[in-house]
Order: sequence, then structure tokens, then C-alpha cells
Amino acid sequence: MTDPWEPRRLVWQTAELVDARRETASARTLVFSGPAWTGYLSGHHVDVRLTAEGGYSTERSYSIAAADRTRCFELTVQRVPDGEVSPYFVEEMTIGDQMEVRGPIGGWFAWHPGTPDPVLLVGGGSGVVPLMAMIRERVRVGSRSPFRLVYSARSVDEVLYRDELADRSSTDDRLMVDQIYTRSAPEGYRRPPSRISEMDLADLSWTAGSAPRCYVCGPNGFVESVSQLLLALGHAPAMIRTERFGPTGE
Amino acid sequence: MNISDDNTTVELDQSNALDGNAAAGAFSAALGVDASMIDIVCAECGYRAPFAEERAYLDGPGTTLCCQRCASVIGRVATTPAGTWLSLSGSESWRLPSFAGSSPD
Repeated sequence: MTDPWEPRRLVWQTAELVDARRETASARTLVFSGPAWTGYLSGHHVDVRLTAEGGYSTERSYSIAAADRTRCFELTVQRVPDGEVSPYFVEEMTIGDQMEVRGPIGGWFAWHPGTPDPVLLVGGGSGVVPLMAMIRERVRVGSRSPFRLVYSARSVDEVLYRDELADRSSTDDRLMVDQIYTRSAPEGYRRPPSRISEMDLADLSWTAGSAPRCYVCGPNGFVESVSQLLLALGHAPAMIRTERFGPTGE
Repeated sequence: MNISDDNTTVELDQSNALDGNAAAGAFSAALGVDASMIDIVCAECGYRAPFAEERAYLDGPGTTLCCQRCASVIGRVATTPAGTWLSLSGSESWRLPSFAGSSPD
């Protein structure tokens, strides 16, 4: 494990949009290049600062969806209705546009590749983004830790990384993906649409006894209820790490 | 909830709260280490929690961290033209926990 207390000089740097792809009707992945940084761990986020022509500026934090070790990182942004920043990222920002960025940061909600423990990832909506970063990182570093993702989305149309998750889970017997739909499920789906429940998190092969590290990310209410379910299932508080978006998801 | 903090009264609406993860960048930039894993003891109620699990308010000015349990202000950071201001007066202690394999703090 690298020293988590290694001094970090975090400064605002310029990042430029170099690529972008649509994930769903309301979400987009943006690839940025530019900032020189060190110490990235999957689960980390960046602070983003956008400044309008008049000088007004606003800051947000976004989870990193993927990153290489040097100068490139990806964010996946879900457009929030009436949001101030997310519509810009999803609809307006074009290749070559710049922004200020500070990071990567957030070792609390990060997966450390050296740890052999099984990992249980529970994501609600775009809370899947940092969890996807962990799934990608696990493969990149060649970890054999078993991972299970329980991913709650409103409907098929809102599932991020759908093809990639299907590909990865079908070719990797140590990656399990359980998709939960809360509003509408495809016809014949094994599970009727409903909120995440104890049944979704309890699984014979994934009891609390196997002591997985749990990472839970989503809106406030989602994280709160999943944390309670995990505690009720016997997971130790110290093994549960959470990250919340707040009420708006922005 | 009304928080009396020095001479000001701040209306803290919990529904606006993010968790400490969202404040980690501002505090880490001021402290020079990753703030998210620091264990903080609230001076008001004595509750101990990791930075990342406290409540954060980013609406400004500056970034405010409040106790997860009693909502008292435990730390603030703000950058002005004169420099970056860091106030930790609402907290009793900040501990950088040692981890296996890392140098002791």
C-alpha cells in the first residue's frame, strides 16, 4: 500500500476535453487530458471549476470513471434536470473546451489494488461511476479479488456502461453483476421493478461472513437505506464505505 | 437546524448536505494531505468520525464541514485574495490514522 499520508500538493490545473461519447439519453462520458497528477486510485474524484465569461464560477465534484497513470481521465456525467453544471457537460461542452480541475482526491472511497478481500459494490443511478472505475482498475492491475456489483437503475434506458458490464461479467467468473430496476424492468426479467431490498444484497455466496469490503455510492436516500441493509445483514461498519451525491445528484 | 457559530447564525438545511467526500478537495489543498481519511473529534459533542462521513456544505462562501451527529461546524476553509483561511476551532482533534504498510503518523 502506498503511504496515504504522502504530502499532496493539490492545485487547480487546466484540463481539455479530447473525446466524448454518449452513454444514455441523459448521460455522457467525457475524456479529458492535460493535468499532471500522481497517486490516482479507483474511486477517487476530482473537483471541477467552471468559470463563465462574466467571471462567475462554480465548483462541483465528479467521480472519475477511468484514468491512466499520467494525463488522461474520464468523467461520466448524468444530466440533472434544472442542474447548473451537468447540462453543460452533457449537452454543450465540445472537444477542445477547457475547464479547471483539482485532484485526484478521496482515498476514503478508493479501492486499493493490494487488498485481496472480496469487494461488494452497490450503486444507485450514476453512483455506479466510481464503482465502474474500480471494476476497470481490478482488471488493469490483474487482481483476482472477487467483485460483485449490485446496480440499481430506474430502467434499461438509464443503465450506464450496459454493454461493457455485460461483456466483462460474461468473460470473468470473478465478476458478478446484478442489475436492479426500480421503475420498469424488461419483460420477463427475473425481478419485478422495486427499490433495492435485503434480498438483493443477501446472496449465499456473498454473506457478511466472507467479509467483503463494501462500497456504496448514490443519492443520499439510496446510500442511507443500503447502509442500513448491509448492517442488518451483519456487515461490519468498518467495512462499509459510502459516497453520497446530495439531493440533486449534481 | 440553527447553528450558533461565533456571531453568526447559519440555517443548515440537512437536505443540502453532501458528505465529506465532496469537501475533501478544498481541505486537502489547504492541509497538503488527503483529508478524506482523517478521523475528527467534534468539540461540541465528542463524536468521532472520518472526514468523509461528516456533512459538507459547499454553497459558500468557502467550504464548511459539520459534525455528522450534532451538526456543529467543525471546520471551514475559504480562499480569498488574501490567502486561504482554515479554521478547525469546532473540532477537538484531527488524527491521521496509521495504516499497515504506511509510515507512522
